Amino acid sequence: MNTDLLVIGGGPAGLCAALEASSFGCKVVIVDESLSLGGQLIKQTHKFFGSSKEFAGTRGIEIARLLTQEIMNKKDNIEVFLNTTAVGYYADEKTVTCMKSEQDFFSVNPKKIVIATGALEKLLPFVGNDLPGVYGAGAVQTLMNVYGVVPGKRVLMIGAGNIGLIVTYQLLQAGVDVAGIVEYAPRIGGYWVHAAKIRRLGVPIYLRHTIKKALGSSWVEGAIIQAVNEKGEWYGEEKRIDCDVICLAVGLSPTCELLWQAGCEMNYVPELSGYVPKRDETMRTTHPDIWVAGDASGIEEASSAMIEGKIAGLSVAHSLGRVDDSSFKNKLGEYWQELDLLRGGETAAKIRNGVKKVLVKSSEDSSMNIQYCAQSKSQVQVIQDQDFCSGVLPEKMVESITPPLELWSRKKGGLVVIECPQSIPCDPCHTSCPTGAILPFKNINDLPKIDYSKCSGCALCVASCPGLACFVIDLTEDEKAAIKLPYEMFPRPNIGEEVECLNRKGEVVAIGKVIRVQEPRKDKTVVVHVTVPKELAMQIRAIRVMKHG
Amino acid sequence: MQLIEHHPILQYQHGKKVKFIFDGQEMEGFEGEPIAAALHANGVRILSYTEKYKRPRGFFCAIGKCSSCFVVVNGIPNVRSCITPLEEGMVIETQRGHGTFHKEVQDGEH
Repeated sequence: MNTDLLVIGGGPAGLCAALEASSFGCKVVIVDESLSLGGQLIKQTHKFFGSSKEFAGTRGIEIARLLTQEIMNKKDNIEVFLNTTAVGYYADEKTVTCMKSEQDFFSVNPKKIVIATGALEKLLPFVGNDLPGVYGAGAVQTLMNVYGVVPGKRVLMIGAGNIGLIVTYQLLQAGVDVAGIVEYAPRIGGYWVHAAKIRRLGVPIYLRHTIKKALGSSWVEGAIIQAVNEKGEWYGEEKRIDCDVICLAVGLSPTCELLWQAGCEMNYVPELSGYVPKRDETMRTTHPDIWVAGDASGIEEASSAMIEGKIAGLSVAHSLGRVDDSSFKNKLGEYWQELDLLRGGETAAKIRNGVKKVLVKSSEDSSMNIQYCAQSKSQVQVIQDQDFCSGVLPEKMVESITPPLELWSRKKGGLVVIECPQSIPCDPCHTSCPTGAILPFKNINDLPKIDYSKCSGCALCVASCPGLACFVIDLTEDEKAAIKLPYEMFPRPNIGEEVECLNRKGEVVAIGKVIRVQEPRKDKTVVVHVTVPKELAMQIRAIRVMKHG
Repeated sequence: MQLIEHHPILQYQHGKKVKFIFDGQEMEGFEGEPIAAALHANGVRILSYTEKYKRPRGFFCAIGKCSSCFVVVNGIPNVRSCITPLEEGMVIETQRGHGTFHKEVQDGEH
């Protein structure tokens, strides 16, 4: 089989590479091991961060559907092989060999290759880590979000990076109990807002703890965890946690076998989580016919993977003479601008450093005015507070997010309260605001700023914020405050129903009454209006429907 | 089957219900879904036993990369159950050690 471009891996990076190259008339073949296109997007039920110009505010599953649809619309130019593994690269023949269903063998002779093979879950050494029930976080997502299978009754999550935090939330959505999250570092590694979402639903995060042992002989029946000191030594009492699943979310490694085999120059870059190929600003590796994109080029996230895919696809089309020099340079500059914005926040410092280590600028670079890995925020304040480090807004920070009382106490409909204290690339609060109360971002990594005089309390931001960090509070009634809060659990409460009201640590502090339930964006994030005692208005941040009967 | 009945975000679209055999026992699953998902929904967590220490193994990565989920399917060992679609009438067995190569099965099937 001959083709202009072979894309190995049909996840966000690979699909975007294929679409970009085909938009310039390249013939593309995509091979992917799994049973559907979309890679890990098909398991992501949460809304994406990033820029509203791209996919911010859209759930991963929806992005997968949109990309797959676009691929299907280009049937004439893009051929897809699912359940197919690229098993080898033969340099002399410039041939990639593939196996479909582990049965049918065929080969592809592409002019160019984009390797977008993604990543593999890391394992962690502890006693019993090979027991059935010790699952990778991606596997748990696959079971519950793709196939609707209950992964277990009670899960212990290991790792408080974005994946650990997100999968914990997804487990709660699927009705599975989460015993807690164990994190070796003294602070969560993922976005603070992801942690806040699960803390307010009562999931504890054990910072500076590690798992020592999985209990059970045939499968997991529990776990032993213990605190570690700054030197990494165990101390204090061992804790026994009852659970039947131990979910590992301790990072990913780039899937790089084909890159090695093809002879691409590889570097070990801890910031990018493993061996990754050297590449130029167009994602071309040291092999002239091979590009890389997405997690295979360094562990990051899907939004940047999609842009890397577009860059690779564009560059492939350029190398085949399908794009003229000036449009190529213009587009490349635009894509790098988007990448830089995504990598501009405080959580992306690691990525910026990692990319700098393997980025070898091409000879053409000097004619382009691209800023690589510029940091948007100059100074980042590191907050050491114990609560803050595990996703709970400390008492002393509450004042800084409290609206001016004089206006607030008489504002019918209420005012917005945004609990978003970390610089991350995200802007849907502003783009969803119809009155301009949430001010435009100079840079999407800025923290939201509010002009309270313009806030109507409409709660569109409450429904739009991917971090579920916006709330609207109305203080105009005498005794009770009305809180409009985001809700994505099952079941939805009914109007008039009494619900448990939870504070930022998930403690039940009151019983509130539901007065309204809206779904403003028709995207399954509902805004629940609940009345609560006025003095608890700045404490209550979640509700829980009480068991019926 | 241990299936999620209600989800606030997702609506599951299962394939056709099919019957298969696991270690001599008849089970039900959905056509086209991975064997590992079907087994897990039926409460099966042990997919194989290791060669040397006979330790039980379940799946781990569920994306075809880690080799922890090998089972024997229609006599063929070392099948990645996490990315192999379930078919009506499949005969699936717990794998013990490396599995045995049956020449007649391989030749007969393919």
